Amino acid sequence: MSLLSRPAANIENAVTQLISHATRSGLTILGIVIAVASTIIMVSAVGGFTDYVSDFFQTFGTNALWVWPEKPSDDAPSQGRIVMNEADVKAVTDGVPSLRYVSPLIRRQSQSIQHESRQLTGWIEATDSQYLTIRDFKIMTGRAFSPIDIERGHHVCLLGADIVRRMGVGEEIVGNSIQIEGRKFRVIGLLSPKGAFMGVTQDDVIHIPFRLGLKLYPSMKEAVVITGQANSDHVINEAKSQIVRLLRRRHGIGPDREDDFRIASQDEVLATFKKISLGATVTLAGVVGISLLVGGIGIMNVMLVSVTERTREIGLRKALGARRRDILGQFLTEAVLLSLMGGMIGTLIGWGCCQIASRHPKMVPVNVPWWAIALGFGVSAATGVLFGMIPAVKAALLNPIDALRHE
Amino acid sequence: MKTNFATIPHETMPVIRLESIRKTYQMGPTDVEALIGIDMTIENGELVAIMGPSGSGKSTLLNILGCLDVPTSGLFELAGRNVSLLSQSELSLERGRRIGFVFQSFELLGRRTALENVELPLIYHGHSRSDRRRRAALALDRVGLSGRAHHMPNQLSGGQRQRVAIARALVHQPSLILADEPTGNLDTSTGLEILDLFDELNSEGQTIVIVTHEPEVAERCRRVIKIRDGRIISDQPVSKYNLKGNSTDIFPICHNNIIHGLENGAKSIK
Repeated sequence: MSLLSRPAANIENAVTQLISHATRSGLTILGIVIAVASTIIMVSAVGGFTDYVSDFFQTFGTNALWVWPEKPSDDAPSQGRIVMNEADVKAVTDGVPSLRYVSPLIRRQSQSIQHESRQLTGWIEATDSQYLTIRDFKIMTGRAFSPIDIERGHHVCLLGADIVRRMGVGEEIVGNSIQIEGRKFRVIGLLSPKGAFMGVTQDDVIHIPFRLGLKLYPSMKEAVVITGQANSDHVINEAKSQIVRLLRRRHGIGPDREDDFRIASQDEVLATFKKISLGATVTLAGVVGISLLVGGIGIMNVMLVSVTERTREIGLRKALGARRRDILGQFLTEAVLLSLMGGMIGTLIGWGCCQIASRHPKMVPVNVPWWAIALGFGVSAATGVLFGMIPAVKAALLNPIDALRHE
Repeated sequence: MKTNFATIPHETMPVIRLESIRKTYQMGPTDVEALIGIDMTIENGELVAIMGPSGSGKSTLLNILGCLDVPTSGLFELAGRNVSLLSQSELSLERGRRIGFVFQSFELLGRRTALENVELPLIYHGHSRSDRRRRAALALDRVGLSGRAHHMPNQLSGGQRQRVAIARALVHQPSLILADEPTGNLDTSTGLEILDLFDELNSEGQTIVIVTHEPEVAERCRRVIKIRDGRIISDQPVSKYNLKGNSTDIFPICHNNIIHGLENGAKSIK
C-alpha cells in the first residue's frame, strides 16, 4: 500500500473539514492566493513586455548585422584615423560569402526637408536597393529603388510613414517632389509603417540613393555603415568573424590592437534583451518565493492548531484502526488541498487581472503562459506538502491513549 | 495471521487469553507497576464486566485489551494471535479488525452524520464507499437508529449518540466490543437501555467487555472481574444477571450504591 493510503476518503474528509471551517480556510490560503496571483501577473507582464520588445527588435531585420567605425575603448595613440568607406563595403560584399546581402548606409538627421510650404526634420538614410530587404522594409505604395536609380544617382526618394503623416499628405505624394537640403527629389514610393517602441520610431525616415547621400553629406564619406544579412541564423557568427578578419587586414590593425569598428547583430541585441528579461523574471520569482514561504508558514500554523484541536479525533481514529500513515495522509491531504485551492484562486485572479490589463489601449498584450499556471499550481502543492508535513507528522505520532484523554 | 485462522477454528478459541501480564510505567526515577501478573481468559460469546476503583490498573488493562498499549511482559493472545510483540502499525490493523470501542463520552465526530460516523472504522479497511454505506446502515438499523442516519450528533440525545457509537463498534464485526464506562454520561434509564442493547447483542453471540466502576452495570453482566492494585482480586459469574427492567432493579442499585460509597470512602481514608 502506498505511503498515503486511501486518497479518495482523505480528499472527501479534507473537503468536509475545510468547508466546515470556511472562514479559517479562506484566511489561511490568502497568503498563497496573493503569492500565486502576483506570480502569474508578474510573469505574464514581463513575458508580454518581452514579446513586445522582441517583436520590435525583429523589425530591425532578420539575421541583420551592422558594422560601423568606432574608436577602440583604450584609444591607443598610434591607432591613426578611424575610417570606413565605400571600398570597405565593396570588400565585405566580395569577401564574406556567408552574407547574402550587403548595403552601405549613411545616416544623418536632416534639418531641411521641405514639401510645399511645410518644413520639417527627419532621418535621411542613403543606401542602395538591397537595404530594404536587409531591414525588412516593405513598400506600401509606388516602387523601390531600381539598380539604375542607385547607379546613376537619380534624385528619387522613399518616404517613411511618419514623414508622410507629418507632411500632412497621402498617397498622392508619390510622383511629386520634395526638397532635401535644397535639392529636389521625386517621391517614388512610400514605406509601410514598422511601428514605434517606447517613443523611438523607425518610420521617421527618408531613403535616398547612396551616391546622393555622399553628395549631400561629403563628411560621411569615411563614416559609412555596412549593413548586411547573413544567409541563415547559423552563419551569423561566422559572418561576423569573417568581417572582423577582413576589416582588420584592410585597416592594418596589428594582433595587439583592438578593432577600430564595431559589429552588432539583431540576434545579439535580442539575446541581450532576453537575458535582461530572464534576470527580471528570476528576481521576481525570488520575491514571489518569499511570499509563498509566508503563505506556507500560515498554512503550517493553521494545520498545527487544527491538529491540537482535533487531538481526540486523532485518538479516536487510531483506536478505530487508523495507522500512522493514515493519519499522516489525512492531514497532508488537508494541507495540500488548502494550498492547491489557494493556487487555483490565485491563478484565476492573476489570469483575470492580466485579461483586464490587456484591454487597456496603452498596455501591451499580456498573455498568461501555460507554464506560469503550471508553476503556480506546482509550487502551491509543494508548499502544502512541505509545510503540511510537520503538523501531519505531529498528528501521526500522537499516542492514541493520550490523544483520547486530551481535553 | 491468516494461517492462525485456518488452523484454529474461530469458535473454540478464547477471544482473549492473558498470561502473567505485567505493565510497568516509568515515572521519573521510579517505576510504577500498573499491572502485576494478570491471568485471564475470555471465551467467545461472554459478557464480562471489569471493575475496579480508579488507580486499580483497570484503564491500563483496558488499553492492553484494546491493543492501544503493549504489556511490559507476559502473553496476550487476541483471537488466537499473539499481539504482545506487534509493531505500531500491526497493532492499528489488529484493533481495526478485532476490536470495537465504545467510550464514555461517545467520541462521535461532530461534523459528520450518524451514518458517516458509523462508517469510520471501515475507511481503514479499504471497503468501497457503497459497501461502507450499506454496512453502516445495517449497523445503525441494528441499534434501532435507522431513522436517524442523517442526523448530526448534536441533533441526537445522549442515548442515541451512544447507540451510534455502538453501531460504529459493531460495523466491522469485531471479535470483541470493549466498552469503557458506556453508561457513565447517561441518566439511569437511558443507561439501562444501553445495557439492554449490550445484552441483546451478547445473546446473539457478540463478545463484550464492559469496564466500569458502577456495580449496577456489572450486575448486568454474566461475569465480573474485579481488579485492585494491579491484580485480579475476584473473578465470579453473576447469579442474578437476568434481572431485567424496572422495580426489581431498585434494590440492587440502592444496595450497590451503598457498597460503592463505602468503597470510595475507604479509598479516600487510605
